[in-house]
Amino acid sequence: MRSKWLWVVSVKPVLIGSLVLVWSLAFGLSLALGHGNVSWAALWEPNSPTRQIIEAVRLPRALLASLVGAGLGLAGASIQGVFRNPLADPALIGISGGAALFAALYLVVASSAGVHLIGLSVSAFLGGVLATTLVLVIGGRRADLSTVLLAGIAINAICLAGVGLLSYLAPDQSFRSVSFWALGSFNHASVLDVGVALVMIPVAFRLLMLGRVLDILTLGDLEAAHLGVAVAGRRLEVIIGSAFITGIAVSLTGIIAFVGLIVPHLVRMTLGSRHNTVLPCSMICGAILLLVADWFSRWIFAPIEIPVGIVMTLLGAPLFVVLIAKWTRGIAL
Amino acid sequence: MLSVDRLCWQLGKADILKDVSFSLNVGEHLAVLGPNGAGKSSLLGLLSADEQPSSGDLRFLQQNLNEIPVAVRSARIAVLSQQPLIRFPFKVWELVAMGRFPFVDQTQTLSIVDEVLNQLDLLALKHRSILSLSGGELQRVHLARALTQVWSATEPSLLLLDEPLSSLDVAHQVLVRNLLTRMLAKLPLSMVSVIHDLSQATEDFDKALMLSREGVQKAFGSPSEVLTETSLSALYASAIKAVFDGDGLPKGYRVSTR
Repeated sequence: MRSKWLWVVSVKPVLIGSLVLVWSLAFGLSLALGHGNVSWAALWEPNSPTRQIIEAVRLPRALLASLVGAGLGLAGASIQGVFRNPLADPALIGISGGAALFAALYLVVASSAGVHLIGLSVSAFLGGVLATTLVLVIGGRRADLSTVLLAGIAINAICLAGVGLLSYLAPDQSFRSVSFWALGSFNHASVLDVGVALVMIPVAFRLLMLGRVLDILTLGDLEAAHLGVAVAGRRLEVIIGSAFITGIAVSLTGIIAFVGLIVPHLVRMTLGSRHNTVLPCSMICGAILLLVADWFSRWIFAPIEIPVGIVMTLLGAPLFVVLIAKWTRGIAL
Repeated sequence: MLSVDRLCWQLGKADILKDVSFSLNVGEHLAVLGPNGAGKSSLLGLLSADEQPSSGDLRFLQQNLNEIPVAVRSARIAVLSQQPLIRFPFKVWELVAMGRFPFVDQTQTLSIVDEVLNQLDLLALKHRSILSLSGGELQRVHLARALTQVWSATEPSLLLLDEPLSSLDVAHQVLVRNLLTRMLAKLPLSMVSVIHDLSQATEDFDKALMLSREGVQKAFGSPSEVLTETSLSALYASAIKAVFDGDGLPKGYRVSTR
C-alpha cells in the first residue's frame, strides 16, 4: 500500500510536466501563427518587422492569454470548491460582472485625474469581492446548485446594465466600450498588461496551497470544522484570492466566461476530483484553452479578429446546457 | 472522559434541550433515545461543538469542550452527522481519506483507509465515484470517514454517531454493530449514538439517555434500568411491550398499533 501512495505522489510531476509541455507547444504556435508576414530568419535582427510583430504584438498577447487563462481556470476551480458547487464559474455567478462594473466605474470617476492600470485592477478586485459576497449571502453554501446560479443571473444583469449606463455618462476617450467588458478580448494586449497580470502569481500560489482544505470544505461547514478546518477564515481566503485573480483578469481583458467552468470540469472527469490535482491542472489547462481559443478567434474570420469571449461562450454555453440537463435528471457529472 | 452537567440549549426563545446531565467513561457506548424532535441531534451538535450551550457545563477530559482548540479537538472527536450532500465525484477512498486530515503524519493514511474499507465491506467500491452510490453505501462511506479519524487513537477519543444504521440493510447493520463493539474493546474510545431501534439498545450499549419530546432528560443509566415498559410507553405515547429473555433483560420491544 505504501508503494501505491508513492505512485499517487509521483504521478503528479509527470502529469504537470506533460501539461506544461502541451502549454509550451500551444504558446509556440500562438507566436508562430497569425496574419502578417513573418520571416523567421529575421527574428534575431534588431528592428526587423518580424521582431517587432513578435515583441510588440504576439508575445504580450500569448503571455496575457496564458496568464488570464491560468488565473480563470484556478479561480473557477477554487470558487467551485468553496461554493460546493461544480457549476459555479466566476462569470456565471457574477464575480466577473461585479469586477467589470467597478472597473468601468473607476474609468468614469478617475477619467479627469488620469486613469491608472493599478487603480483599475484594484477597483475590479473590490467589485469582484462584493459580488461574491452577495452571491454567498443570497445563495448560501448548501450545495444548492440553482440558487447560486440564479443569484448570479441577477447580479450579472445589474452589473452589465450598470456598465451600459456608465458608457453613456462617460467621457468617451477614456471609457472602453460595453462590448469590451461583456466579451473579453486580447486585442490590445501590451507589455504593461502582462506586467499587471503577473501580480496574480503570488495569490495563485496561496490558492494552490489550499487544495486539501478545499477538499474538506466540499463536505460542508460543520463537517469541515469537525476535521479541524477553520472554516470562516479559509473560505474568506479562497474568496478574496479568487476575486483578486478574476478582478485583475477582467480589468485587463474584459469578461471571458466559461473558462472557469469548462476547465475544472474536464480536469475532474479525466484526472480526479482532489483539489491538489484539480487546482494546478486547471491552471495549466486554462492557459492552454485560452491560447487555442485566442488563435481561433484570430484565424476563423481572418483578417478580422473576433473577441475571444465570443469563442469561449459559444464553446462553453452548450456544455453548460448539457451539464444542467444532466444534473436535473440526477445523473452526476 | 465526557461529563455533562445541567446542559441547556435554546434556539431563539424555544428550549431545545433542558437540564441534560450524564457522564461517560472510556470504553462506554451511550445510546441517546427519544421521539422525533426531542433534541437528540441537537445534543450531538453540542457535543461536537457545532453549537455553544446556552447554560450548563460540557467537559471533555476535564476541559471545557468549547475551549479546546479546533485542531486538537478534530484529532480526538469524530462525528458522523446526518449525511452531507456532496456534488463532486470524489472516489470512495478519497472521501474516506479525508478523515485523516487532522493528522500531521500521513504515512499510514492509505493503509488505515484500506483497513476501514475492508471492515465496512467497502473495498469493492474503493475506486467508485461517491455520486454513483446508493444511500446505504454512502452512509457506510461517511461512517468509514468518521472511523478513520479515530482508527489509530492512542489517547482517549470520542466518536459521535447520528443514526449510524438508519439506511443500512440487516447484514450491514450487524457488521457495523460488531465493528463498533470491537473498536470499543480495542481502542481508548467512547461513543455516543443517536438511535431509533430499541431492540439494539440493550445489546450494544453500556448507558442510555432518554429525552422527552420537550427535550427534557427523562432517564439516564444502564439500558435495562432506563428502557422499561412504562418509561418507553410514556415516552412514545403508545403501548410498548418489552420482550424479555431468560436472564430477565429486555431483548426487544413490541409496539401495539392500536
